[in-house]
Amino acid sequence: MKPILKFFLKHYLRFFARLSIAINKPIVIAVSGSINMLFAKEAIKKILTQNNYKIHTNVKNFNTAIGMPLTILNLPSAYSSYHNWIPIMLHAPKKIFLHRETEILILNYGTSNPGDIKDLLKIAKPNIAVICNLTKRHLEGFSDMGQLAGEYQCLINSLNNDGLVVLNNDNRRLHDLALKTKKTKITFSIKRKSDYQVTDIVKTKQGMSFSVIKNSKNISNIQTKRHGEHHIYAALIATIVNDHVKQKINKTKRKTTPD
Amino acid sequence: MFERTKNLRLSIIKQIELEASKYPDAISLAQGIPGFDTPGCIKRRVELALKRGVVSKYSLVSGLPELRELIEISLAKENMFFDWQKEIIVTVGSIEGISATILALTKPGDEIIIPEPTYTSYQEVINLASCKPILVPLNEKNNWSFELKRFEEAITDKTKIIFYCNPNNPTGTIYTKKQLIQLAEIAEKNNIYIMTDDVYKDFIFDKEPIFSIAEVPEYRDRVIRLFSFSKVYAMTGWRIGYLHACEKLVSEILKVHDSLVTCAPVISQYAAMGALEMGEGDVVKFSLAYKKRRDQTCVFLDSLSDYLDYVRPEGTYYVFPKLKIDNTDSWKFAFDLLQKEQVAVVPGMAFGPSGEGHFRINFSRDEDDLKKAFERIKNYFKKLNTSKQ
Repeated sequence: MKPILKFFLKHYLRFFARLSIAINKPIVIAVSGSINMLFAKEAIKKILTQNNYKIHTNVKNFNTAIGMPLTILNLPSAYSSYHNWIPIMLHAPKKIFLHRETEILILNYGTSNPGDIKDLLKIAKPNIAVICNLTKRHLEGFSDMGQLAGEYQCLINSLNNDGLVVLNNDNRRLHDLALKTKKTKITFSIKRKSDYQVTDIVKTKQGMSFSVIKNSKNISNIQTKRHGEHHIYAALIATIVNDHVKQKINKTKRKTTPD
Repeated sequence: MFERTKNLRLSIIKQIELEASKYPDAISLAQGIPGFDTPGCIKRRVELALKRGVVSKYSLVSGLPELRELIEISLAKENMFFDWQKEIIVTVGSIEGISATILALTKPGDEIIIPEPTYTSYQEVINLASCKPILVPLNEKNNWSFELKRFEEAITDKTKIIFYCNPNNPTGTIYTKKQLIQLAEIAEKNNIYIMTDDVYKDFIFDKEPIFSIAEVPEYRDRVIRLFSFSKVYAMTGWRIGYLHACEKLVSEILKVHDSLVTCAPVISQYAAMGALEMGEGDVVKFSLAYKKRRDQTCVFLDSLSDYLDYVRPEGTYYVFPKLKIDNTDSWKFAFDLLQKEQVAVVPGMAFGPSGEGHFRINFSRDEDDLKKAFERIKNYFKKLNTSKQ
């Protein structure tokens, strides 16, 4: 797509996406990180849906300056087809009130170049920021790991006082970010002492089972058909987000209920 | 000299293609090339990767993490649960995955059971690994289905693997869930691995999505499932595919994969990402077109019922007609047809002894080419009939 058209499309879609969030005020959950973003998003979606929250999230891996507004407005991408973008753009204004019922918006925040996260924050500022992991993936767009970590620092900085950052304590870089930040944070881990931890991991042909520990108390036993450590992390993230959302929505309801 | 290669042969399909290239007006229904070009969304994904300068270096030996994540997600949609970090390898097409698996799991002299007729290159890879292919005939009278008793009879203490293609190339047969479960039970009882090559899994015409043994958790320790992007996404030239199995097997196969290729071509790995992210619509389009071409082919074959018999293919883009003429030497027939009418087909003997007396048609070519080729085949049989009188 020609840069000028891309620029126009980005700002046009961004305008309506921002308007939609401003009008409907859903809780925005940012799911980010070099790996495991997709699995974490799916796990959050699953647990919140099970608990009857009205959620909206991206169907595909739309996490860019054009992809995110498309997710918010629930519109498809026309990729490089100029012709197919026309009906999508015409539909955008009609989608502003789409989220009247939506309580929670789960969005992937991807970064492959410096400034990407900042750009996405102009569309939607999160109430909860999850950083799944930080690896050398997508490093080619950055001068070093420090600059890449700076993208996630930017995401943490964007949180309001009542915001929450959820961090993987097994990752050294994220552990350091957790130590530094003054924002409200919850850490999770498989390997080291953290706010949420797992124990009793059992792997079988049928999948995995494990227990989630919070403040030395077993708070849930999880069974999954999936295989791989990343699903344990995803389940931990989903548990944390669910606990926090439960509190936050209860609080909001209490505030708005007349005495 | 040439001890390892002396018993290998160049694929008969390639020989036919080579011969066909001598005839400028030949229409080839021989090689299994898809009838479409790689979808635009895949090419755009590659252009983007090239612009970003991310394709010039090796990837991790098992493939790009982001591609393996997408593969795990795509497998989960088909009820197969494998860990992208430890249980999936991105390979150079499926044939490299097949080679790496056989080399990793066998020792010279081991036996590998393959139902036949089936894809020609399987036998060559087995021979290359100094193993012995044990051919078990499929039952043509029962739509080329498995006969489980024959598998049981073929098992010896040297049997290591049962290896099949589902849907089957060249017959277009889809093996049923019941048959596959029974086969897995036989494998379990005899401590044998199962390799399943599912490269045509998305070209199913009349049935529900195919079943794979890899869906059954009880058998996940003995199943190696292979897939290629070649056919489904019209990407034969990109040479990209993947395999998945339990961690224990993958860690061994990975060593061979590393020795053979270091990693799959990174540019093609980005193409595969484009396929999984955006290629779904194109696969549906291809599948519908192939179904239409299958029906067109069957109408044509019905019109030649005096000369040919066939089993209606349920999947793939091949049909495997049986010759009902005096001389049923498939090799001679294929070369005669090429010489006289300039239509290239693959002689059935290329796919195993049960394939003799048959030939394979690739019906993925566009409708006009198929029409022209069918006219020529019709002429061939008419002339044959006239010369007989």
